[in-house]
Amino acid sequence: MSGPLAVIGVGQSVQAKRREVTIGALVREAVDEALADAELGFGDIDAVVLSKTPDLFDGVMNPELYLADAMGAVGLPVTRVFTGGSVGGHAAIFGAHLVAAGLARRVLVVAYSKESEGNFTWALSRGLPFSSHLGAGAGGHFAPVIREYIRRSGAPEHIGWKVAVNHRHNAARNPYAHIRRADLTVEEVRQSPMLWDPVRYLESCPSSDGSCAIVVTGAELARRAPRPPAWIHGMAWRTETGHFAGRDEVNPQAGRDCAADAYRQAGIADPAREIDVAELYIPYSWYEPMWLENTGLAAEHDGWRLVDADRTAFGGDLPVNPSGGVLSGNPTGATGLLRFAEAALQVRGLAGEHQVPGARRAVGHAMGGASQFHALWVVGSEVPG
Amino acid sequence: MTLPEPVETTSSPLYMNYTYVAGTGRSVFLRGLNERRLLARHCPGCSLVYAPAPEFCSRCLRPVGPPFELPGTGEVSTFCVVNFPFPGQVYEPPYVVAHIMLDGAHNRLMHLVREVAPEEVTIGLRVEPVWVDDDELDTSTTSIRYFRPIGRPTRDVAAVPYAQTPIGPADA
Amino acid sequence: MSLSAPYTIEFPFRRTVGPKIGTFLAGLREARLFGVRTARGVLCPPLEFDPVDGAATGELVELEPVGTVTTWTWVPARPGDPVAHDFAWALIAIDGTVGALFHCVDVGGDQDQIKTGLRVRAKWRPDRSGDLRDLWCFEAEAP
Ligand SMILES: [Zn+2]
Repeated sequence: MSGPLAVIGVGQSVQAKRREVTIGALVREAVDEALADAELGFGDIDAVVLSKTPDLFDGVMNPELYLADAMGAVGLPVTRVFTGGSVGGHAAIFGAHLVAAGLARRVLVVAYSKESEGNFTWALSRGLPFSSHLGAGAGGHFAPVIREYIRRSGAPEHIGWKVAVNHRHNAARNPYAHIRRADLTVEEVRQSPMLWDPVRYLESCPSSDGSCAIVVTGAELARRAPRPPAWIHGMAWRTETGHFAGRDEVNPQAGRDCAADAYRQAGIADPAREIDVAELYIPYSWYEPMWLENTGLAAEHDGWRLVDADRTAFGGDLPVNPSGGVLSGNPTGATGLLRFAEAALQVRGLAGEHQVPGARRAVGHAMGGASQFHALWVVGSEVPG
Repeated sequence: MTLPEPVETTSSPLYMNYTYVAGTGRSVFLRGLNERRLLARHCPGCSLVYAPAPEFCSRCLRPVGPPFELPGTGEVSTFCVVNFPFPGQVYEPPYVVAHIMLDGAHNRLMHLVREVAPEEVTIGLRVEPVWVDDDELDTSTTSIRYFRPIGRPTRDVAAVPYAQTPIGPADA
Repeated sequence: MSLSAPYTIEFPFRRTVGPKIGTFLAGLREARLFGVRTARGVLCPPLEFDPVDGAATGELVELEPVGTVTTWTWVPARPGDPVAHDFAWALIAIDGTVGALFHCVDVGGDQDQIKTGLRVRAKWRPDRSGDLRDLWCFEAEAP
């Protein structure tokens, strides 16, 4: 180990339907911003890690070759990481591992999706031979899991509406977010079309184009960075398979193990008290209480009570997704890295209008597949001790 | 020099022919469906029963045992109602897609629940398969047209267990 | 034995090409050839980023559609190829550029006529749509 690791640069593109830019130019927006934040050029980077979701979302195979020029990867080792929607989180951790292993001094981690070039729901809903064609997009997969959570926890239905409102209000403070709705009301969410009962339209994430990039380095170079580093206090990833007898997808074991490992590394015994802000991978509003419980930020069945008591809203004691989260912008390949990057911005004090005052320790979290891939890091404003 | 007005987008179609291989484990289950039989297999490692069964238990990574037939009845573990149209959709919305735990099994089969209004479907609803006619039988889950309710839920839905067996090799 | 079945994946992606490649393609429609400036010379075909150093490329410049074959491979004609008889796939260094353009060189089906250093000129299709196929092929320049 090389000692403490840190994020010294963060960049992102505006998330929207970005028909006017190429994939390369979209990626470059985030790369330029991350390098400018760290006051570095391509010559200062020793390795590049790329995060992207399934190739059928945009039809680009071998994106790490296709984007080598846009990422400034010429002459450098480049690796594509791929774990479904959590991929950005895994890529950040993989990049940090390259530094920890002494294989690179500064790693550029890049993530993108350009879903407007294909059709996301369709790509996820293709029938396979030998089966009834029951696929209905990502929501068709997650809605039954949500129903199971609601039954177990006894949560009232307004919790899902409230999360949807909180996140869109947060996004109104984030100039990069896709869906920015300072005026959104619980009533409007409640009246929005029911897509996959119990999930309504406004409780669902959009399909976005967007990119994100970060620069990860070791302690020595982090101390010389022009802006405050986000120190990595703990990071972990875990995996479980999608279909095994006895699987609990509401509160997956892999997610619990992942969070527990990261907190152990960070020396955190009581995450709910010791974490100031959490940026969680919440593609459907009900995943806020579910992931609060899964990541140990709330007791089992109690996640919804934090929402109900406004504790996870922007002014609460455990703000969740100050960026607006996945509900306010979902370029899937970048979605995980955006969560990790937001946690870093918060502890660096550089989150702008969506800065949580005094945030010293933050969680960034990502989930992929059918809740099979989990990645989480704890970042802090202080060097880990 | 005047530049021409740029082309904005180009078509970039993808067309790939594959051979889809169901796998030896899943093929046992699919061949059973062709005979209106729901076949399960037992894992010698964790003692859990798979229907449908893979070739190996995903928890223990051990080959599962020989197939045996389940009665076919089961219970809705959870479900959603698909309420909107999308490209390539086969069924007319609204329709219920349920995770069905067959009696005697420990994993879940995804299928339609019909012959009941979507708003009357509940977690814990007892269901049975409705099979297609002989000439439509196939090595496919389409051999089951859908599941339908058999009476009212026999259990209090709030009592349906969810705290399931922990992950990891049971015989490590 | 496992069951198996044919499985086809088909998606109609539409790719944004951006201002540099978009202008190049639009130029082809007008039977004009464009390159793009970089610090080390003009690239044809144009790219958004210089593949050597990743820098954003500069302004577009119009080129004479004439160049030199730098290397080639002789191939038998197949259905869908640009010309009906055997021809060469070649890298063609367009005059005034660095690097090369990959395209078909038609020498009338006579392999003895293709060689590195051959001077070639673009032949345009009569019906053009803003696509690389608007450039039908390259033919040897009259000596
Ligand atoms: Zn087992």
